[in-house]
Amino acid sequence: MNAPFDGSDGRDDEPSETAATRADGAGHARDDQGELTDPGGPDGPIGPDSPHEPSDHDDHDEHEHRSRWPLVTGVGAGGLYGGVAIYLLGAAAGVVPPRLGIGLAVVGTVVLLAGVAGWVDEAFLAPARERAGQTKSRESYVSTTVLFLVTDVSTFGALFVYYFFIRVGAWPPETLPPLLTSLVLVNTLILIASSVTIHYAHEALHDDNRRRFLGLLGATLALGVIFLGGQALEYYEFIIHEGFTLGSGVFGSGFFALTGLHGLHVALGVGGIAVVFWRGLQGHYGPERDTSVATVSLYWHFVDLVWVFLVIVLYVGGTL
Amino acid sequence: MSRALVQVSLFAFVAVGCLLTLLAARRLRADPSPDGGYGVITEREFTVGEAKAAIVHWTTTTNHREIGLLYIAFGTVAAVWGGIDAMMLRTHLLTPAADIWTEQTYNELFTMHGLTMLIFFVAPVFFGLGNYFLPLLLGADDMAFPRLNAVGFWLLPPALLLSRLGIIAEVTGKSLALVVPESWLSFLFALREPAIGWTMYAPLSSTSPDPQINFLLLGLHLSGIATTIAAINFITTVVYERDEAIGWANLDIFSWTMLVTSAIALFAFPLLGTALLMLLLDRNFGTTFFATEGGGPILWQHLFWFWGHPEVYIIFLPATGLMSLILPKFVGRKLFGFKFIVYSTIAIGVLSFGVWAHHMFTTGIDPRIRASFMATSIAIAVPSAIKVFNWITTMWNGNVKLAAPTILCVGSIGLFIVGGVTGIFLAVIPVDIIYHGTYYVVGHFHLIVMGIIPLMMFAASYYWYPLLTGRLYDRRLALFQSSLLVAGSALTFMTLMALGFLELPRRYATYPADFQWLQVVATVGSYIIGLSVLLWFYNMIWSYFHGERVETADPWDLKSTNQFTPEWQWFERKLERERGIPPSEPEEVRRSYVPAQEGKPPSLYGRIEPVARTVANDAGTGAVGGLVGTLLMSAVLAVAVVIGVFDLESFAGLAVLVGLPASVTLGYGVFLAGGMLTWPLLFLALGEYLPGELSFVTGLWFSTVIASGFAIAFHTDQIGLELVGYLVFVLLAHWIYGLGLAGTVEYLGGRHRTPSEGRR
Ligand code: HEM
Ligand SMILES: [Cu+2]
Repeated sequence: MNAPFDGSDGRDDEPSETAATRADGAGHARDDQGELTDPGGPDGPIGPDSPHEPSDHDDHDEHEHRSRWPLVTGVGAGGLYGGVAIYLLGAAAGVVPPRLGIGLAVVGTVVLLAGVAGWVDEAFLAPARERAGQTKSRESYVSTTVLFLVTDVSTFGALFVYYFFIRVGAWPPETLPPLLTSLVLVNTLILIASSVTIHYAHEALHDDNRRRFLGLLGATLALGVIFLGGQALEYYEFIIHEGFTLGSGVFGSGFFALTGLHGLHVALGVGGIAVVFWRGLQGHYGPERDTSVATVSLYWHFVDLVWVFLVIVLYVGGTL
Repeated sequence: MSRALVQVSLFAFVAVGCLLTLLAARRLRADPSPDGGYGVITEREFTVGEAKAAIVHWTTTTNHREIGLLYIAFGTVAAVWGGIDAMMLRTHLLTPAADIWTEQTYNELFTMHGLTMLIFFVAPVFFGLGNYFLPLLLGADDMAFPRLNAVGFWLLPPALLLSRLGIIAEVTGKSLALVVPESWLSFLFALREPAIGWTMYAPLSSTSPDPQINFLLLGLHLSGIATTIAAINFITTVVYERDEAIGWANLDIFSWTMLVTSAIALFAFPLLGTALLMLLLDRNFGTTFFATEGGGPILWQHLFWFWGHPEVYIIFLPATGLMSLILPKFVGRKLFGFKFIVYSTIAIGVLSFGVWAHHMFTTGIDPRIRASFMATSIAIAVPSAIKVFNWITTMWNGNVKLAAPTILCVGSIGLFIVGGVTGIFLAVIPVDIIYHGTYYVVGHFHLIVMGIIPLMMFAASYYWYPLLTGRLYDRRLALFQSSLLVAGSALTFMTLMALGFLELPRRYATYPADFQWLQVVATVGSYIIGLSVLLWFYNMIWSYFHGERVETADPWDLKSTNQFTPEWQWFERKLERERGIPPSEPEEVRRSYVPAQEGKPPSLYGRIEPVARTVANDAGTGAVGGLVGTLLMSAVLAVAVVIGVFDLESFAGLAVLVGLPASVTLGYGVFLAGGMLTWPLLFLALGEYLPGELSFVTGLWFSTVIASGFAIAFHTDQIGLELVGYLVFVLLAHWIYGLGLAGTVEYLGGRHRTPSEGRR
């Protein structure tokens, strides 16, 4: 127990409170006043040398956390996939109305997104709100993002292999629509510009220039949205005016699959940037608290790079 | 006999049997039993509230050990399902004609048997073991991303349901038809289990109308996402969640294999995912990915096997990890050549992406491409062989204890040798052209996918049973069960090899009556396997309630050989905490790991750098030694050329062998590369087995062995005296090579024993 001559009136709980904070890995936040200026917020300066969980593994059994979001995510994904399959069943065999499948898929997607949102909130945002220190290093998140990008190379890889397979054959396999339009040029410039803006946004964050950071991040978000708009416009032109569709031939398959997959990535990136932007507005970031800014911007650069590669091999390479 | 009905009854039989055993075991436990005093679980019915709480508990858990158990349970269900498929396949083959079930049914069975086993059984069980034990072995609190971990698991059940909806729909339809008009159920009857082969080759898969194929493709895609998520999580866990005391040098072998496995999965599965969706688009939206005018059916095969061969190693490597982990514990010796087992695992990981076309030798791809894939496929056998030698040497002079895991380990080494060696033969194009379509291939891969993978799972289940349940399994039953399993596997799949030698084509529901007796033997063997699996279930369930309670955290007497690894240390702390059992023989408890690095953990670069440096050092020493040796050797060969006993043109043949144009210069380049890479590495690896340190003697011995291969490969048409001269020069050249290699390695100080070896 406490020494009786401590002199402090809150002596009964104070030591235990400190201990509790330490166990969270946020040992530096000792009192309420300190917390306001505490750099160890959501994306705290957790390097390899920051206080980790005590390396006493006996109590790791006890630190239970449970979550219902993984199950929700699984159910949602099952709904989405099952819905698509039922839609295809209805479209092909006519034994069920295809709309039933679409409905299930939509519901599944909503549940899936809710599950993912709940998980992200619980795993990342809630600790941030509670200003608990992050227990994992920034580096581990960045490396995990890199691992994800490796899987993505493989995801795109299969489609590129298809494209190279047909490209080395007789070319062009069918009359191609005009590929190299000003639209593609503008869109490419927009995406490259957005890579630049997100980079400097990150730099501004490092310089603790909040206004600049938010401004540039906002610009990136806008550029991403414009790019998606441009893609939609291009699809519209091709499908409605040129009659060039996914099913219209050897090139169409590759073209729409590749650009579609890439568009999906851009859309996800826009979502990610939007979340980061919103968190930036809430003041979640600082020069030392930039983990999610770093990971999202890494992803965004990757998506940009894939686009440049795509333009070179698919648009330019297809026209030549 | 309705196939669906049989399948469901068998499934129900296994499930109900397990349940009854469970209930009986619980009920009997209520009686005062000799182990008395532990009436913790009193005999009473589960209330609804408790059941609800249990369901909530297990569906929301993010604890790595509980998720591990969920994975294992899921994998076991899939195994039973795929196993029933297998039993039915073998039953079908009892008669030469397709008179038990139809041909269509047979095709459905082997399609879904393969996919269920490969995708839904093996990886989930290994990921479950990894989930449970990796954090314990690494001293981590949990997996790196506990919730993501749970997400990965919860994607699997819907994936399995979608993939196997064909049979589920059929059964549901048939049962519902008893109460509602059949016309309402047409959508259930529209689905049939796919019969397109587990490789799903186009154009059959892209044109078959069965809508269940869409469900299957989507289900497999979902399971691929789950696998990728788990793989990412494992890598991050191993790299970032290790306890400070555990560096790369003393990372345990199971974690190493899970790390490499995850790295392979990371790149293989996303590609399969895209390929599956491309097939889906081809089927439903008129794309041309695998249509003849587009990428063609061959593109599917390339993409499929680019995933498929690495997948083979994804499921095989964790089994080798378990073997390397468990075997030493039962022979009382540390794993021999730990470092080289790690190297060979990494080598397999890299090479596994470069051999896929050996599955396509008979499809008329470019012969030069075929030849180079033949070379890589033969090369990939080397790291596997290194593992086998290390295991055998681990047992050598060991204190081999008779226990179920020992039987399983030794049995699988034997079965794997046969499976692996037949694989090497298949990698040789002319052999493959004959055997590709026969039971030989089925025998080859089953000797591995049955011979080592499930056997190691069983071994792990016995080895860790005390840790998982706090009780011991029934040892006599386990001994019997493992022997039965090994015998059943050998009987079944060696018989298939024999059928293959007789060139019986695979994947047919019917066969000429001459083969019947061999088929019957194989079927009997498979029933033996099935029986042993049932015995295992019984043992696991019954012992959970009635097994002898462990009174020490060291049931395998690991402390006496200094192999009391972290998961058991964890168990020891747990026993002390929960049951007040003090650590046994405390005077012998030692720190099992010396901290590899002190101070703060270095960056990623700093983490990888030491490993890379040792590898680079060894490779570098070998390469320099090889260069010296090869140059000396070239000088001797030059003399031979001048004398006229050696034909320079034979180098051109070497170039052709690896797929290059026939040119002496290129051939010499290949020769030099081989002399600097392959042989020195083999030398460094095999040198471990030679008595004493590496020295000129071992160099001479080694070069003599490889000279025999060279003499055959480079022989042109020398006869008589010329032949004698040729042989003498070949031997001389190799001795010079061996001396140069060994001398340089010795000079540069290669092959220092690393601390990791000393400790293991
Ligand atoms: C020692 C190294 C190995 C070599 C050199 C090797 C070689 C081969 C070759 C050349 C084939 C093609 C046969 C054909 O279809 O004509 C094949 C098939 C197969 N192998 Fe292996 N293999 C090895 C190890 C393994 C391992 C470790 C596994 C599984 C864990 C495995 C599983 C399979 C499977 C499943 C097939 C059949 C694919 C099909 O359905 O057509 N192999 N192997
Ligand atoms: Cu293979």
